[in-house]
Amino acid sequence: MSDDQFLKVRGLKKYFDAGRPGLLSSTKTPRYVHAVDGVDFTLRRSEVLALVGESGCGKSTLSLLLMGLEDPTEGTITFEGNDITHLKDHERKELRRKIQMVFQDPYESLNPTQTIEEIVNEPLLVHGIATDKNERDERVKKAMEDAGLKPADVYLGRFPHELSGGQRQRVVIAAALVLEPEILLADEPVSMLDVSIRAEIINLLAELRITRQIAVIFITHDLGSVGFFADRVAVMYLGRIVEIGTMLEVLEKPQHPYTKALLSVIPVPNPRMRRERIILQGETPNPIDLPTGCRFHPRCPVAMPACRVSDPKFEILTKTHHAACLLLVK
Amino acid sequence: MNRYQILLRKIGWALFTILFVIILNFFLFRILPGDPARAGVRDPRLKKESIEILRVRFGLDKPIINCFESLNPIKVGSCDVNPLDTQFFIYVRNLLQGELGFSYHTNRPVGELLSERLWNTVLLIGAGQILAIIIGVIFGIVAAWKARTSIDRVAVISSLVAWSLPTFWLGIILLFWGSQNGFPLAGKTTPGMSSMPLLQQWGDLAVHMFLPTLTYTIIYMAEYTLIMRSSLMDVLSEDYILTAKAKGLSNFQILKDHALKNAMLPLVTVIAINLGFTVAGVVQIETVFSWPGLGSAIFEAVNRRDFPVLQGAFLLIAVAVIFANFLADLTYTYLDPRVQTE
Repeated sequence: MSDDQFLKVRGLKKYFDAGRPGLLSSTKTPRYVHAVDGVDFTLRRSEVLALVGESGCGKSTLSLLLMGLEDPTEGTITFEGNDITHLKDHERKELRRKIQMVFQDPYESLNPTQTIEEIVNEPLLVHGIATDKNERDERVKKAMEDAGLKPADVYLGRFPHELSGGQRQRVVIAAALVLEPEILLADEPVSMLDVSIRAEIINLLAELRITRQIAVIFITHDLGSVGFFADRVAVMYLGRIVEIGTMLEVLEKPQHPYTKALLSVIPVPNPRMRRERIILQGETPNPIDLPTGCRFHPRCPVAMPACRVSDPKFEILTKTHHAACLLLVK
Repeated sequence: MNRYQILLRKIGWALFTILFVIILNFFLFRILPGDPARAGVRDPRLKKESIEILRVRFGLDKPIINCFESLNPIKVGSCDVNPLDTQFFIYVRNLLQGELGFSYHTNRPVGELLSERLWNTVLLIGAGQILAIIIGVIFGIVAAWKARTSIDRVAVISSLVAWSLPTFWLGIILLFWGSQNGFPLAGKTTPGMSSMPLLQQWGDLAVHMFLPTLTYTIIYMAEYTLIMRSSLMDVLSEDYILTAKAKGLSNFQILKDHALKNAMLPLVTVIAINLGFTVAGVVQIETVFSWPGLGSAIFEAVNRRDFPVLQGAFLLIAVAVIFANFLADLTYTYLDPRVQTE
């Protein structure tokens, strides 16, 4: 099986019903929120892919689609060569062992009435792994220590409210690791944490990828935080990927004006190295009524008349670096 | 603070509240207009001397408390009387000896009268509450699980209607319906039943209980349905439910292991408060169905200015409310680990 077949997403779309048009509205056609609108990418084994975008660009919906927690409107997801786009609940159960997720807010994603041990142990019980109690305890402790909760015994009997935000996020990661997944989907895992703890959690994820060979999809709105450990970076805008490439290609030689704007506002520690900041005007357009042509054109600082009309396709810049912008068409 | 200190403090507060109720209870009824000696025996031919004898017998000739002869109308009296010889202190002294006094109307000890009535009320409330909780919670779970479908809408609308119904009105309607369908219209037993075999007595009791319990269940079930539904919907939208799903738990496992325990928390409070207040709240049901319970005892006692009965009943209700809240507190610490340390 080639590495390209590991996780492959083709033309993935998710439209949410935006409700019936109002009583007085002129249109009678149903309206949809185009949360994810045609996303393609592949993920290789033990690779870290960073998905970057503003809030509302569809990155969380994309993660729910990959987890099978939402049903895609169109497109396919294949994992290890099998189509996993529309699986029934019992068919998906086996798959859930292999793809695990870390949610954004560790204050919300832990059941307040369970102890840490129950939380980390539960996935094993659900999947009937390690029927022997001692073996289960071993795995629970191993996962917790891998997630940086050392020594594990101290934390086992505690409740989530007795832990700090960073510790809670480690519990969430431990509960994902205990199933020994092949892909870890991390949806803004550090945005709710103190800045001092963010680096620790990101380092932890980077470490896990080396020690456990886990592929990580790291979803974030902060392009600055991915530079540490991502192999590749995909930039999303309004439900689509606008630029994808290796970390160096995207961070050093950004081609899409949106990526350039995102990069220009990352603070640089050296005060002499001032860059010109590109501040985008206006808000992200409403995902119900999308702009015509290139969907970035209303905010694009270098938009041309043609951008209003034609929707740019991916331009292949190098084997790994693709971007969708009319300026790149030669 | 450790657990025992918290427990002790809670008990302390409960006792303090009961003390406050005891004091308030006494003065509350003395402010009511009307002369108990006259209201108790409604006979216009009653002579002045006889009334005076009645007054002395029930201790109504003594001043209410130092400086006050009576409270309605307010009559200021001497402040030099022996405080132990006032109505208030006699009431407190009797209460400390477990003595609730004698009913002005029936001349029976209040304790005996109320305990007999209380038992009937507990029977009615017990059956009604258990049914309301079970059915209400199940409806609430179904409605939340099928949220925003037609099942959910039917559940919400019918619950809102049932909750808004005046209790006495629903009772009267059901009474009309029951009269057409052979249900007894009043009381707890058919006269002469006590000579029948035990099984038949129970059957008779069940038939008598049916309509009042049905009224009670409909009214309270609606409340539980609505609270359970909104609470469960809140919990189901939490991230840990999504996490559980991502871990591979089935919908049933999520409901059983994660959602219900968290969603029950607000319900425990409401059940506890209801348990206390429904002791008083059944006044309407008991009056409509002439059920010989505490509620109808209160209703009769108010009409007759039967202060000792009212005092006793209110004290009982207050203790029930306080005790139910105390129990809710304890259940909460068991159900929600966050409460213990805060």
